[in-house]
Amino acid sequence: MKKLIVFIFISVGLSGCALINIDPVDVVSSEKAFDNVTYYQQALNKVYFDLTVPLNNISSTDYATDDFTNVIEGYEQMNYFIYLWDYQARPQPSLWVQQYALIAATNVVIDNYDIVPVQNVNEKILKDEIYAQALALRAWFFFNLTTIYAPHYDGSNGNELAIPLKLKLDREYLPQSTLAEVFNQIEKDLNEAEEKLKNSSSEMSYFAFRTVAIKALRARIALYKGDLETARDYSSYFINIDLLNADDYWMLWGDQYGFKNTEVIFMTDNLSDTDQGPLLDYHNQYETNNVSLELNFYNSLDDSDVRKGTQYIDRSTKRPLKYLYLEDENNAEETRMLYYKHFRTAEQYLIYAEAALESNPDKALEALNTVRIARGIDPLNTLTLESILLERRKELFQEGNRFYDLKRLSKKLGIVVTRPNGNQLVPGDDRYTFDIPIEETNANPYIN
Amino acid sequence: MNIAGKHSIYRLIMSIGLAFVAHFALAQQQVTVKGMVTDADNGEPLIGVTVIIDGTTSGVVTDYDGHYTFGGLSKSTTLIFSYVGYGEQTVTVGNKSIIDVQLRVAVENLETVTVFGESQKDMRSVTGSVSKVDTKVFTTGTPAGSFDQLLQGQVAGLAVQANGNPGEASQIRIRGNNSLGVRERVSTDEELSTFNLANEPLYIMNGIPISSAVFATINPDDIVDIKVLKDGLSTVEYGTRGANGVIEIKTKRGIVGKTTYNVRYQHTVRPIGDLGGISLMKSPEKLALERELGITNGLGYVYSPRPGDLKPVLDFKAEKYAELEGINTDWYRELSQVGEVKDLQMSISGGVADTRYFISANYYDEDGSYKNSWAKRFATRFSLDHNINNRLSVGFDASIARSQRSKSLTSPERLIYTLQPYETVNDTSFISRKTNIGGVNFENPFDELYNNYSENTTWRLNINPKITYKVTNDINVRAEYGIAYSEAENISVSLANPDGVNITQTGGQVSKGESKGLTNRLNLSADFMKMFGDHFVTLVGGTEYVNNNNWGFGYRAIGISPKVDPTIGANPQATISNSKYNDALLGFYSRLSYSYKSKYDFTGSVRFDGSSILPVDRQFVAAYGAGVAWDIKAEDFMASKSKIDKLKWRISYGLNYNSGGIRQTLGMPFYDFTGTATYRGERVINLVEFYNPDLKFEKTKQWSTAIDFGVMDHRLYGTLEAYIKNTDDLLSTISIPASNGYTSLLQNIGALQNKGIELTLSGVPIRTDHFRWTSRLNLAYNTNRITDLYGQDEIRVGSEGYFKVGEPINSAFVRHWAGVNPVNGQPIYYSRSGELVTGGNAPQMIGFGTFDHPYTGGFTNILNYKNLEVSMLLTYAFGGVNNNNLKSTMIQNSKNGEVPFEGFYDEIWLAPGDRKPFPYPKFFSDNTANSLFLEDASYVRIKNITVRYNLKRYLRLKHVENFMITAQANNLYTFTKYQGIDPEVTGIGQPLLQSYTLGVDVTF
Repeated sequence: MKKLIVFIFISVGLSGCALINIDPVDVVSSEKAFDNVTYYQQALNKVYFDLTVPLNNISSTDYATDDFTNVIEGYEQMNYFIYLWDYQARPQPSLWVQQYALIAATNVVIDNYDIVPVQNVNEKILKDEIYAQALALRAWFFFNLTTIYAPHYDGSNGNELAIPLKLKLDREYLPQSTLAEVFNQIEKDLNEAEEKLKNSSSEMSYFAFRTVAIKALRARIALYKGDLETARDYSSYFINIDLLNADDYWMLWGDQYGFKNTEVIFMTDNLSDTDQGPLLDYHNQYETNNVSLELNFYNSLDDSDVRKGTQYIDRSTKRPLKYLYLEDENNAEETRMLYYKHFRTAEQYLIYAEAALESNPDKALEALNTVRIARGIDPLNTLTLESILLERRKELFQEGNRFYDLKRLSKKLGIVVTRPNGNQLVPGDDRYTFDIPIEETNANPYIN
Repeated sequence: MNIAGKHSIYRLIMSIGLAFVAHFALAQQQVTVKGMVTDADNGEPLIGVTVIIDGTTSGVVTDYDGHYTFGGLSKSTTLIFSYVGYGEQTVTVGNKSIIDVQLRVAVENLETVTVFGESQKDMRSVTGSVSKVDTKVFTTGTPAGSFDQLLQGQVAGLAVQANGNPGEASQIRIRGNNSLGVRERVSTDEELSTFNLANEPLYIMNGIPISSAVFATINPDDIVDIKVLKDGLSTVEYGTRGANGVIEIKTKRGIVGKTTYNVRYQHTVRPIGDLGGISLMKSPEKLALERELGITNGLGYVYSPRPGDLKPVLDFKAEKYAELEGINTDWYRELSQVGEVKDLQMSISGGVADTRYFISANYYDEDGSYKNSWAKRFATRFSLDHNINNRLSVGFDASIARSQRSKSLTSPERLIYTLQPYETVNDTSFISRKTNIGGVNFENPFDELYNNYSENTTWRLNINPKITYKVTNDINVRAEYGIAYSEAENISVSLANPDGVNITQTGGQVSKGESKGLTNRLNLSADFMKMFGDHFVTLVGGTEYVNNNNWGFGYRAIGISPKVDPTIGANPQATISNSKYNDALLGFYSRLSYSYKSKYDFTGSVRFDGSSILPVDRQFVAAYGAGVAWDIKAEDFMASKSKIDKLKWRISYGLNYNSGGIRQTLGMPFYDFTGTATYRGERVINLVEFYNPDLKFEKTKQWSTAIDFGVMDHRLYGTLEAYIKNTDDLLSTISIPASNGYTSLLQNIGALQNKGIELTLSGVPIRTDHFRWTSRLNLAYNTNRITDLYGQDEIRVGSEGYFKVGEPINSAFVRHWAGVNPVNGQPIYYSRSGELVTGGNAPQMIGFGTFDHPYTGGFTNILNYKNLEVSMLLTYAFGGVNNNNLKSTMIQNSKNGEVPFEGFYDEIWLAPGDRKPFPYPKFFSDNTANSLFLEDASYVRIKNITVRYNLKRYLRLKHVENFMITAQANNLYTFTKYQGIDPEVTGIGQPLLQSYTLGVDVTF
């Protein structure tokens, strides 16, 4: 008996360490996860997938602009507080948290580049393409963050503090980088992305953020910085692409895959036929926040303007409806528009018009008029910055671009945003820079 | 021997008494006596003491409370009380109806006494800090949907914060919070204190670790003993799991003797309660408020005269307005129901010389305070012990239980302020529920209450065999095996609402999660006990292996068909989730005890624990502790102090670890390939969670000291304890900069010190032949402060979490309310320097108290007179604050037409110059927590009053030993200054309702 007991004790002691070495069966380590370029692509899918979530686009910034009026608290209280320019009320705008969550997903791809093995040239190209997309997307997210959370960068105020540059996945406590540093990083990332995409085929896809989308992003960034020459150069790539004619305008929203629909540069996929579909509803927030388009702006749209159609703006409530496709002759039943278009060709036309306004006014006017004609309204004879801005507003309302426009031009054009209760957002107002939310300031010793 | 000597004196006294009594009472009438047998050293009840009539074999045994009832005696009968390990006592009945006996230990050390292979724990040689919960707490049958509520007020230093929902677990803390909890406001009408799970004590039932959820659903009647291990030494036995204290539960085993059958049924009624310190606004005031504020979704505004209204319109409006003023619906009453609890309990216990057994079954059925709120529980247990021979003993214990509970995703408390007093149940439109603010789904409040609900069903099976072998007289070896299997199903249903705003609402949603858990545990140990003259040595060594396997499966479907039962989820497009998780723990432990003449005791204890959740190179950590005890009373110089029955001093030190919250996936990046998301037909992989490669176990070092005393001829026992507990490498899930892409992460953030004093008094102030008054009081004081935050001065987490060096954890972190600006009706606050500032610039500050009560405790009194027993339990807590969330939400939402409290109209700013406590509601949207709604949440609660009467005498039923009728009242009254729903309830939740119970308890 005693021997048996001693035996039991010794054997348990020896086998002890084996008993508690349990590899998790439900999760996968980095090395195992990225042992093939296929899985590398699946990590990038996470970024695109997250981009489909309504909160992850920056259209909430529209609420801070003069496009919307009559906003109430509704379900998405955050939008209401943005409308009041009260960035301290809770819930605070989630844009910071969301954009950095997207950046973390790109950093998964960027950090693990060296782990992924490749068997042949094609795999190498594929791997580089994936990596390049992650870099370019990250650059775009950094740019979004600076437009919202940093002062406007006009090329001369590079020393002002902007946002933290989160360049790897690991936990860090980062100070704010300066505007110049942020824009340099964006430039560097985009250059590297283009370099990595050199060998890839030029196959066009609306759903991948590759060479074409990078050009569109560069044009948008350059315009923001007031670097008109660069903006003109990049946007000129797009101004030879045909826009849909007025009769076919519905295709932009109602026929995403149609071969005639050449107006989209980058969009995220409609996931309505997947499990996540029911959760995606861009239109819902406009409904519950009771959004109406500002009346003067609405009235500035000609009746012949296809963009004023009942499919896009409700005639009685003036609610923008770009993400709700009503039942009509092209559409058998009402559907939610779930292809979110982040970059469109028409924007590039308008960027070109603005960038070339001084250097090549004729071509600028032509670009603008191409858009106007396509939308069913008369061409202009002369071109001013104001008229370009108004055209941008008409073309791009509800797509998160108005805040970007006001931020870069309100000083120059003296635009004052006035709320029905008299509150105003004056040119160069501090509230053009959102407060960094407590999710950052609470824990970051460098940012208060 | 001393004890024997005393016995002869007792016998002498008894004989004289007998002669005296016999002289007066010659008539041989049948009498029944009852009483309680306790340990003379510490007043603990003794279970299974044999009480026999001198010279015969007929007798009874004491029950699980140490009580006995013996009928058919005559006044001249002599009773002999005997118990293994204790000296015998003889008492003659005489005129007494209550005979209480205190037995004295007759062996040097009780641990050498084994019963069915189990060594008797000698509470006298304990050097650490272990409190026992009185067994009576479990046997009285106090209705509690969650068993853990019964522990409230029972043990000094055990703080229980109850939850009003049936079957919902309470929050239990031993000697304060070890880890840092974070308070976070989840939405405007809900507030949760999301404490780190790492603060929960470890629950051990018959040696097997169980979760707090399982703990809450134990059948109280199966429990014979609960020990609360509070100090650093006694918890060393549990190694890396014990730092937050341990609650050891032992279930009943049979009592050797005649087979006893017990049946008990109790019926409880819970009347509809109220909102505590808040009464809702009545129609006239509400209509006037709407008119004044111009609240467009209020009928008071709708029926207000407007310029240009014609006379018929004005007349109509005035008429409607007056009509509405006459309606006053009590919505809380309409939405609530009278709760009921049915509780049936049966048990059989008995045994012969070498075999004992216990069988029980329990059915519990509770209907809560509204239709979807209920809990049901069925549990059965069987235990058997047998001595195969005088060396080998086997034991077996098995139980099966099913518990079910249901609740709505909302509650009447959350709905009432969206319902107008001038609306009635027959209405189809509810004017302020149309605004869609705060997640209103169904406009009809009954739909909202009944159509969103969750149900939980859990099955549990436990089997625990054990075997003990006496190798020599000094050495025992023991093997215990335990298997615990559980299956749980959680269903959450939101029925389709055609008026909903999103697809989830219009289609309805059902989600179902099934989980299975299997825990295997093996414990091998050996002990050596030997007496060397006056020296007694015990050496225990052993190893324990615990292996957990968990599987989960669930789905979520949107689009419920009305054709089928919603819980089967009719949508073919369901999102599936699957999980599987294993972990294991291996421990090696050893304990050495040394005792000199039972006067000086020393204990040293050590345990190495290895855990699979830690990286391979640092899997093992060691917990250790030591303690001494000095029985001062045993010293010669105390021998003459006859007034003191007991005097003992103990001191212990222990170091423990706490693994709470640490998972493998938190240490380094791991990826999830099982997510349901796809993008353009392809899999989407994702980081499982953000990681912290620096994670370490939390480390707690505790000094604990105590004085035990007994005075007044075994009538009063007491313990005064003090402790200092230092926790390093505090684990807390705190904010990390959101620029990481993740906002929170478990980190080791600093050090914390808990200090406290605990007083326990228990005694029998009056004990006569027919009357006994038993009293128990406990009071604990705990305070804590953060001693280090690793270089930082303060840490902010979420909206209301705040840690600062030198300050207590769980401090209220709010804006300092300065009142209302008489000029514009907006709130003003104080800045840190005491200047007045407006909302946007107001800083959050501490200095308004903590949400934990420094003082907690309970006071029990039991009076016995012949066959009548009356007991009362008071629980109390002092010194903490609570956020009156209901009031704050009401004020916040009154601009949307929701209903505030009565008298609100007179207390709000309306025009420049008004000096009022509350701001102009129309522009008040400042939803950051502020000091205005922090209220003192100290309370004294009359938790329970029980009256029991034994009808046996009158019924004269053959074989019936006891026929008890019980009447109870629970949560009878609360003395508090708190003006919210209930001082114990955080957020807007169900109050602890009054309940009244009638029961019958028959033993035969």
